[in-house]
Amino acid sequence: MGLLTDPGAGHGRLTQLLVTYHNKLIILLYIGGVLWFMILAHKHFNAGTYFSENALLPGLVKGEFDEDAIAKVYQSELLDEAAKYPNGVPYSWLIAKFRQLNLDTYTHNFTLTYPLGLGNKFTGKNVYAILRAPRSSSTEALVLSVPYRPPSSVNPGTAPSIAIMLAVAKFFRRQKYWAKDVIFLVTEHEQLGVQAWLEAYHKVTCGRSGVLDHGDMMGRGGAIQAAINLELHAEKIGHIDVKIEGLNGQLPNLDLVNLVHRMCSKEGVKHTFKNRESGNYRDWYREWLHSFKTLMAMVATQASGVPNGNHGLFHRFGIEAVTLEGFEKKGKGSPALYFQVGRVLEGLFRSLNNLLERFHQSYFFYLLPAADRFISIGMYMPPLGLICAGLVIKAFALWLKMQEDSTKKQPAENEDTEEDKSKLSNQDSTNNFSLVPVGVTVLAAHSVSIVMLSSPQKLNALGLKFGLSTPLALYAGYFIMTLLMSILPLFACRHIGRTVESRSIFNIVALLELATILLCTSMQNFSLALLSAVVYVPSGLLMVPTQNRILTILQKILWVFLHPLWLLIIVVLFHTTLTFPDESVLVLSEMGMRAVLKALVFAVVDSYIYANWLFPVATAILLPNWILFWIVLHNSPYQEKKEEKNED
Amino acid sequence: MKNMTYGVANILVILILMLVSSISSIHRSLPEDFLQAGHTNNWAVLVDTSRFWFNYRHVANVLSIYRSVKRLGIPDSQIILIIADDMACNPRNPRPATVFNNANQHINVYGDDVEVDYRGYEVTVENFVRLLTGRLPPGTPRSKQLLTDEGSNVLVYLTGHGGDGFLKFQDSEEVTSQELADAVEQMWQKRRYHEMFFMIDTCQGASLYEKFYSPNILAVASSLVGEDSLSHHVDPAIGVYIIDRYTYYALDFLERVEPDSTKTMGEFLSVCPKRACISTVGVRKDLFPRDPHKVPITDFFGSLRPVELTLSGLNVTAMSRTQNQSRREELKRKVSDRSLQYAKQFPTSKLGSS
Repeated sequence: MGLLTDPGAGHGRLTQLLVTYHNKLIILLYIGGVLWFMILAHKHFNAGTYFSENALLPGLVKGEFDEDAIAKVYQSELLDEAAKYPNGVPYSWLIAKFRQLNLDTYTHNFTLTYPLGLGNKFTGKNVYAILRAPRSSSTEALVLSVPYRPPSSVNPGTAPSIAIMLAVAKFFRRQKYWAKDVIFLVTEHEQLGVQAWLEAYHKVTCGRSGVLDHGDMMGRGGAIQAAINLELHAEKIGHIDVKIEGLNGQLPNLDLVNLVHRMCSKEGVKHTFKNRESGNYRDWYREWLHSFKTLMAMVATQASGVPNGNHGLFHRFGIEAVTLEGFEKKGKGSPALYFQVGRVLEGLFRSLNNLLERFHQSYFFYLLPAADRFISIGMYMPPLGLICAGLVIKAFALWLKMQEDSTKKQPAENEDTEEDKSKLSNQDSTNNFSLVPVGVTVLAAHSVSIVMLSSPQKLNALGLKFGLSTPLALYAGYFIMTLLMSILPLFACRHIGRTVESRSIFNIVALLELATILLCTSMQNFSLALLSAVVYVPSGLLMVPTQNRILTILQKILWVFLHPLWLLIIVVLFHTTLTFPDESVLVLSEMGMRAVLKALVFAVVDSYIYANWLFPVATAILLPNWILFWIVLHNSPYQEKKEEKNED
Repeated sequence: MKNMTYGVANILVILILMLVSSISSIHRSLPEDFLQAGHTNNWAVLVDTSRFWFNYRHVANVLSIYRSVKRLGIPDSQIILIIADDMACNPRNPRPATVFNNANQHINVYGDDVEVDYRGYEVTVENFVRLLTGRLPPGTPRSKQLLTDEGSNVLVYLTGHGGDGFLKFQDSEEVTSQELADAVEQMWQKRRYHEMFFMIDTCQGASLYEKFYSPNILAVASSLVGEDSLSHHVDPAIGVYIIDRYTYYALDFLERVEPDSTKTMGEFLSVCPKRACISTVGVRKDLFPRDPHKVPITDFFGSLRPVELTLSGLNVTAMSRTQNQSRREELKRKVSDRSLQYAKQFPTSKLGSS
């Protein structure tokens, strides 16, 4: 702080240069940061993956799995059985099969009280079986999970995964080398079932209390070390896609991801990341573009904070987990059958069985531009640092300029004349502004967003009275609140705008808060921070009041579109267009509207059930900052000192 | 009781007299080898310092060497076997109660008659140094003591994870090369060895013998400083690397050695050329006064003791009873104020604690 408070400081050559050229520097840093990040996708700037954990002994063991014939029998039996329960789970069949294998078989009930709408209750039931390690003390466990999807489900079915799971269970049962329990888990209601099962297993509640009642559990194994979630859609597998992104952008340890890829290639199963095979181009540009698209696909998924498979819910509990999604083989070529998939699973579990400690050797923070290349945290953080540095530099330059203007020791060449008169009255710069109005405004902005954060259930209740559906009620509520928020500058500017220094200070606070938000978010969810930074840093820097009316209007329009609610709508529409490129505009807009309506509700519900951060971060952290800049925008320009004085 | 003691002493005195008189007459006609062997007994200290399933090969290494030296004649009472982990009973072992050193699984090196003297968490740097120097607490069982003397040839074999200047013990501590050298020097000063063969199969193994400064040490390491020692092959049924390269080739050699074989240490030192080991085997001979090519391998790996043969028969005539009686009384008068006791067979830990 010495640098900021010492009035003598900040008049060196270096700081003068900084004040003069800071805009150019910021542009340079921003472009540099973005280019740096983009170039990381090229193989010269990232590294090949490798194993850090000695204990895994990946792929040393020869596969012995030979129960592929029984898997086919299981599959046909299951399909017959599933047809009897178009909306449910064939519990009795599953339980009977596990019991036949002499496994400890249990069921687990859970109840969801839907936090919005009419508060309906939904129930579900998971089935799980534990293979106890015969020569060990049951202190550790591994999980093989499959989400059960009834025939009526919109998602592609997973019956083949249950068939192979049972076959693998049968094979595992015969082996004597288990040092950890193996838990075979069949869940209902997609992620809800896994979340409830995990909460019950660990006896905790992650989301809001009273929403998801995780129920009780009769049987447990040891501490879960790793989990593999299986989603095979067909018996004949074309390729297996390895999904890693978890809740709030958490990732499994890189060793586990490597292990899955290694096992797949050992058994000759085609494996991909983000459904993209590693491209083999001679042209460096196309090669880079291919990697960059894969990288951005990962960034997009991670930024949303929504797990792209059931594995994503394990991460919170310190359990490394991935999803193996198998897609049906189409076209020519030899597919991977139950035999190969069984061997992959056998190899995976034997390696995991060798583990002595939790995964800890390899990276937890990384980005993958290909299945076998990675960018570590040390490589991807500097670009974000450069992008965010602009905010801090701008804030610093504003501060220096403010000091300079008021003390008038060295008048800068571009802004002068008018301020001469105020020199006498403003001898001591610290008297020029009061932190109280600034602080009160910042506090008010944050209080408003806390209200917004805690309002969904009340809005929902209010909406019910007026006969509005939940999404409409939420949107209407937030729209009204946003409108109310937009007039906040009317009150705020009157207090802050009294002196130019106060307005500068307010801008500095807004800039520094944005930089802090982005850098803190990057520690938790880098992708979210990166995407936000790319959008908000240049926009935030542009939010400087000017005299030019047209420019002011443009600024305001831009900033309105960057309101988190608007941004959500834009992103969802964009995503819908990307997912269904073939649909006509009319259909698209209809689908988009439906998606937009759902998106907000999903964000709210996810935060209640799974404790997804996206909604709280957007409303409680990003929104107040948005308000701060909105107020900055409505302030008078910093140079118009004389006018201000006259008005006062 | 006293009479008995006198009787034994008597016979001893006579025997010694007879030996002294006979040696001068026979030594010229004995084979040279018999007199060259300077040691009177053989000991082996075999150490595996690493634990965990993925270090299976280290246990296989040490058990293989154990099996070889036992086959060549060192009894279990003179082998200190130190193993940090129990691979045979590890739940991950698909062949319970066995340890193999080859993917063919011909030999179960954890078969019958394996006496592990230090195991599991007893395998510490402190215990190892105490064992070498003999500074063990009173009451330590004989099986955990290195009861060597100035006539002992000692084989020290170490395997585990090493670095430049240290050897890792378990997952928590290391012995440095300086500590090791000082412990050996202490052994020398306490006359706890006659000659020592120091063998180490770790990464950067040569760094462990670099600091030795005591005489009569021959040392060999699987790799030089800056090099890694590599494993030989994987057993795909057990799913681990099963043996290290250097030990594999050393065993290959030892398997063809018999207790009466004429192979020399010089041959043993070159069992693993670089193309086989990939790492460079390091040898240190400067502390060892003899030419390794003239030292039989059984000097360290076997337990041949020098036997002295008498070529001419000796007549021992019995004394008459009265003569014997009078002689005893005479002796009794001479030494009545002196109590006799057996000499200690081996130097005990008292020496260490002084």
